[in-house]
Amino acid sequence: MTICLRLLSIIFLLFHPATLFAAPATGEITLIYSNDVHGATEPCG
Amino acid sequence: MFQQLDVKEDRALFLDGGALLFDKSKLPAGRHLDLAKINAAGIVEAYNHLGYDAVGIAKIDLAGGVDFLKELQKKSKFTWLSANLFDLQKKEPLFSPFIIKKKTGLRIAIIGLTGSGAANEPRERENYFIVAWQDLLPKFMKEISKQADLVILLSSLSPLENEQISQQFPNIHIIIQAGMYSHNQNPVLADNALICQAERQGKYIGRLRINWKKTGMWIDETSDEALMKRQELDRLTWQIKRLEDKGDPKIIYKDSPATLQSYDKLVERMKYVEKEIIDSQQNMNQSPNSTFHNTFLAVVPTIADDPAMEEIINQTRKKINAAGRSGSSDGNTMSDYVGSQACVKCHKEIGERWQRTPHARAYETLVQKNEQFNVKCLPCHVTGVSILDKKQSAVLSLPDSLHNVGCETCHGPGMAHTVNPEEAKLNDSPDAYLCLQCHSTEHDDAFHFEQDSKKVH
Repeated sequence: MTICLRLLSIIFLLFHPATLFAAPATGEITLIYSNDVHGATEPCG
Repeated sequence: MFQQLDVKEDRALFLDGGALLFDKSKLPAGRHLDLAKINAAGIVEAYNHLGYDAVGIAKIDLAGGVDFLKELQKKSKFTWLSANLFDLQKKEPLFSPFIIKKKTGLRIAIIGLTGSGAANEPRERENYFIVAWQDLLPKFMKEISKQADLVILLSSLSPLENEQISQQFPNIHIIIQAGMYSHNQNPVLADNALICQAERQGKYIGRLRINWKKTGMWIDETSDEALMKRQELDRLTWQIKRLEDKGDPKIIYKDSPATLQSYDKLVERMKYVEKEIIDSQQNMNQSPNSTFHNTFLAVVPTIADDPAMEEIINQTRKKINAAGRSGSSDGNTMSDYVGSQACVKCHKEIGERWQRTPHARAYETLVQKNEQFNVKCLPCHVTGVSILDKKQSAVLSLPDSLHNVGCETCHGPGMAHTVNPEEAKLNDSPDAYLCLQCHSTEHDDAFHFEQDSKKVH
């Protein structure tokens, strides 16, 4: 009985929404972006 | 690189929206295509060195063919992304649709979408076709949303389509846009997506610092005051870049104290405005929503050269030059062009003044950079070939007498004039259109016809 209850509680916790849908993370990042380079390296001459 | 950009490696993502490799969507088979491919391979090597994480695929990136891009993909340390570029036979994606990166505990999804180009361009080519994003994006976003906290789209779709996407998918948080605008575009908040675009041709890169919060929503920083500060910052950055374009201003303008003083004031004001923006940013950090701070960094000669990058560029130039050299031949005299030495026999004084100008050394500058067989550069450094000329292979076979920007570049071919000067007059007042063919904003954004035409001779 005790084992059964423990097993049930573990299963419950594993499938609880708070576990399944963990809150999104937060954090600081830096995005370095570019676009439309079009094959340019540097101007001629 | 991280030091120069003032970023920490473990918190940085390097992304490119697309249209990276080529400047034309159609390159005829032959020397032009070969040289463009060598250049493209050099750019991939450079991006590997810079540590790029992902690059979106625009239609123009396929100018060398799908197989060529697949070959480059094998040499790329970054991922080429397109969720809607499909193999025509197999009807499956040709490249990865998206990737997930982890930074500072955040799971970041990056997805690519390829634009189909102008309305009258076919979506289908020899071995690929472009699927409409409306048919694919819902499925991918369902999959991505479970795996990511932050979603970034690399898009070469039109601005209108990007706005439609931002309306339909509030869980796409950033769109890096390739295509429409030539100048830096401050991030614009469209629904819940920041739409960002940097200036083309690698003249600027964008640095977007993000403080991402659990709500997955952005704080609205498009208030008038915030916008005015950012516009002022962009203006100051542009003005400073103009002064730094030719080198370290403290050296270039050492004999011009007024200019140097203006430069110092601009730098001081820029730091002040940046601090104001950061301070207002910090106030916004109290909000439960995410905040951002964007800057455009000018890629100018005063940035210290990275030796490894210099080596990549030099090796690429050597390969381009070698490939161009293989197509050159001993100079045959162009029938209508005689070379400046013929002109100087009668126009001695003007000729001597011209000798002291950069036009007289234009070809030499290419030799110094090992680019004298680069057909992309040559037309603006020799006489007798226009950059509008389709048959640019002729530029590799010019005689030495035409190896500079000589008299006939501006005044027209001189053969008839040498035979009969009184009858065969040349154009003595070339107009701005002629100069702007080479002194375009791409190569000389400081050019002013009225002032600079007086320096010719």
